[in-house]
Amino acid sequence: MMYCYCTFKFTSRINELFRTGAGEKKLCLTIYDDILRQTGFSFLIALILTISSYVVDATLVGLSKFEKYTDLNMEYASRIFKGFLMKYANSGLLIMVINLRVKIFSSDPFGKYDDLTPNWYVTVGYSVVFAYVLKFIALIIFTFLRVFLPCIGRSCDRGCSSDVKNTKKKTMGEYINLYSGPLFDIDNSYTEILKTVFVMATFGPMMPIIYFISLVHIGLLFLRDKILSKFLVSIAFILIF
Amino acid sequence: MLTHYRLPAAFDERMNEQARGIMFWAIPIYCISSVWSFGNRNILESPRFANLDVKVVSDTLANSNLNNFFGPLVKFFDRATNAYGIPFALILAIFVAYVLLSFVFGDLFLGLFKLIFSCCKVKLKEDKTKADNWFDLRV
Repeated sequence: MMYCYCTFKFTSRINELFRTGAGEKKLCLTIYDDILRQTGFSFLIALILTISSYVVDATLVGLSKFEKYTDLNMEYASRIFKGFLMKYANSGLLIMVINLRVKIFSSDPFGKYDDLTPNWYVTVGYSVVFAYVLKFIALIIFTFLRVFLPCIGRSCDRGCSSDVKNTKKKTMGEYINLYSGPLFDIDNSYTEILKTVFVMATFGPMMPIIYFISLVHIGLLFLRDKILSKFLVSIAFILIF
Repeated sequence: MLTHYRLPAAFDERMNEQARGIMFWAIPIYCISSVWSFGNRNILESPRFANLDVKVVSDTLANSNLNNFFGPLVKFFDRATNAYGIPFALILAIFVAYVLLSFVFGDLFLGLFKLIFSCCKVKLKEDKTKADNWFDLRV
């Protein structure tokens, strides 16, 4: 009720003083402050989740190399399963499980929420959606970086000229390494698609906006793979013919 | 070129199979989540004609000592009987039955499947042979 009263005339009521038991207070300002804090906290959690997902990616690649598989298929398959589990847990499932009110026998219940209450949507729901949206913004940024950073490196190598014959490299191996580009990370694509499907299955019925975000996310993943494949294939084409 | 060019990795179908195997488990997760959300009577009120009379079972569970631990399970069971939760609960039950039966009689099912669809398999093989012949003819 107080929130409705405050938002009805936002500019005039923001500094309105109210008499309370503890003296005069700007209650509307306090309400807005609380909302901002809650949203900021959700955003912070989402940001941490997004960054940690990239850290997890790098760790898993390192771990799979450390395991020393003799077969590349096995190495990638291992990365897919572990990566999927970590990303799925990271993309909101962990926050949801932590906040679940579970009572084991006669102990005090853990967590805050035992159902989908409005407060659940404000704290857990916001974080999950924010993390999901941030993830695909990060996906776009990282894709552009992956495509354009090597281009900048090549341009520097050519001395900012468009002539591909200009190079500072001394051996053919170095030259080919510069132009051949990275390996296509198929495991990352599989993990992302699996994570998206599972997050959609878990949170979709609770928050229908997740369906739309998932659709956009999968579309972006498809485009990303197309763009990266095209760039890699075109380089190979130039080198061979 | 032969010694230095970065060769693409030769992947086989194992990764694809693994991904499909994992994706299979999205079905029960979706059903559980849907039952929990759509079966919530505070969100969607169930029409009276569609309600199943399982109050006796849920009340017995709720009043038992197990409620401390299985409280959410009792709630879930209650929501699965809501008109909007029933379709998802049904799919979940079919899924669980399928998984259990596959686990126990997996080879038997596979044998029956092969027996029933063996005709189709032969037909497919014939089609492929025809296609191969057509390709040879064209060459």
